[in-house]
Amino acid sequence: VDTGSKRPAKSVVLGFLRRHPIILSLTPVVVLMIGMYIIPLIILLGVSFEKFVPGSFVPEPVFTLENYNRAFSPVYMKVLTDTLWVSAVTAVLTVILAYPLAFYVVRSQSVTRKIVMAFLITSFFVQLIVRIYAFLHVFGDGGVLNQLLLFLGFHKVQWLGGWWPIIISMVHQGIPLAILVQMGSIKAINPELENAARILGANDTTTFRRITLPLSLPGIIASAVLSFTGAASAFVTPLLLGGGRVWMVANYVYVRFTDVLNYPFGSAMSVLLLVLSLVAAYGTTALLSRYVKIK
Amino acid sequence: MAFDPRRYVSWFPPTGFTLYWFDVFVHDSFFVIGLRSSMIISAVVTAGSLAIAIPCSFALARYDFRGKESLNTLILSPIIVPGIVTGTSLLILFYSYLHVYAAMPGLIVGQTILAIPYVVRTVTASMIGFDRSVEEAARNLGADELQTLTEVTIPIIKPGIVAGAIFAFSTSWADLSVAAFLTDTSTFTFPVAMMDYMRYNFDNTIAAASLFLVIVTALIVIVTEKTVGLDKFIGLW
Repeated sequence: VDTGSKRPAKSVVLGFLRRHPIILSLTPVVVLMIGMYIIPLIILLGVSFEKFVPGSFVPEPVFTLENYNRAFSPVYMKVLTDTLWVSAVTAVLTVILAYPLAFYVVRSQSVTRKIVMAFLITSFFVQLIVRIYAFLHVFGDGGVLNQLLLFLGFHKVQWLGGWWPIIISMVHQGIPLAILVQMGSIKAINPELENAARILGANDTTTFRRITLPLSLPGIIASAVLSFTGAASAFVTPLLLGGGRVWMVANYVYVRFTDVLNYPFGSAMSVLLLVLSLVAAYGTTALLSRYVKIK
Repeated sequence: MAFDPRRYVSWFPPTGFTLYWFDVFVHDSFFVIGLRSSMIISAVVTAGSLAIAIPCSFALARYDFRGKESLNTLILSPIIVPGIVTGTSLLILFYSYLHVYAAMPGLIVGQTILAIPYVVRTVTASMIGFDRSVEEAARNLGADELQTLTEVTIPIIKPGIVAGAIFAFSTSWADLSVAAFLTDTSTFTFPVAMMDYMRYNFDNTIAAASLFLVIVTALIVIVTEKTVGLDKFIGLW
């Protein structure tokens, strides 16, 4: 084996890597993220302007706006606005419900804290599909909720097919992550600041409104954004809890790609979903951080 | 419900006790194939995302370089970008451009991308506040680079690595947004098998499968508590 002539080349490479540890350690992640994430997203954007060939995976490479024309037609705009408000309601409810719990887990010294935390982590890891199955038993035609209504002497209500089972299920899914995200900024608040405000004569409400809330805002913003984009891209929940009648943007994406194989139109819907998420992320951040500055 | 003896669409509460649904579950090739794919894929995704994320975390935690902020944004962006968009873009890449019609490569790549932000975050968090003089001390006492790494550095950041592995595994294990798109006749993950089953059936096989998943979840939480500790695990996030 001719190692003699290879050794210099090898040591040049090794020496280079030793002198440039950053390049060595970042190459894998950069290659993966550019090659398998950014480039596919660019291709997706490109395909969304191409023409659908029925029955083929490969679209005809001619520039067309027809996919977007179709996506902006009244039918799909209705889906888009539905997705928007459902996600917004989900995000608001998630943040409001998560905040006191996050506060409790950070500040409490009691024994129950450990139990709450175990619940939090367990529900963080419980599979979406398991939660949905459980919610089917709550909201289903003969489910727990309807049994309760009948027991109390009311009529049965057909819950599935409306938005509320979906919203409640998505809030339930979003809360653990929201708590984890909010905890960071609550932990960073120095309790002395709150004490100082009280000593200076602020009551509990004022202290909370002027000190605690603004200081925990980064976590609130981050959790709001995550809940919103999580809800906006949900498709399994509406698929299984929607009773086949309630559709969100991601459901159309799913059907276009897997059943109809219309990649160009599916791509256009995907791009809209992506834009929606990014606008929501930057919009919420900008809006809420302005609120803090005024205070 | 997993033990409910009624053989039709049935509601809570159960009327008796049977192991029938577990029998259906373990003998249904659909679920068994899904389970096998899921286990292989989650293991590969966990190993792969650790191998890629750990060096990256080293660079992020220890060095300042041009473009660090952009790199950070890029790595964390899969949390904001809907998973379904990642899934569809990979589907187009593999089917329309690379003409690879097997689902496995796309699944592994896609779920690794979804897992990387969590792993980088937890591992980087465990490195912040790392006292580098400990490494220098080891070197002064005669350890070589490799020994310093394996005997000093890795034990110190181990909680971060374990937490990252748990995040990566559970991201992959529960993923539906990439897995729903990248399937073929012999490769589909367990959650996808459950989703497809639930679209057309509502019986207690799903309850048996769900119970199985809940047990797996409980095991993950117990492993987390025993290795990293729940407090520390939450703190690393």
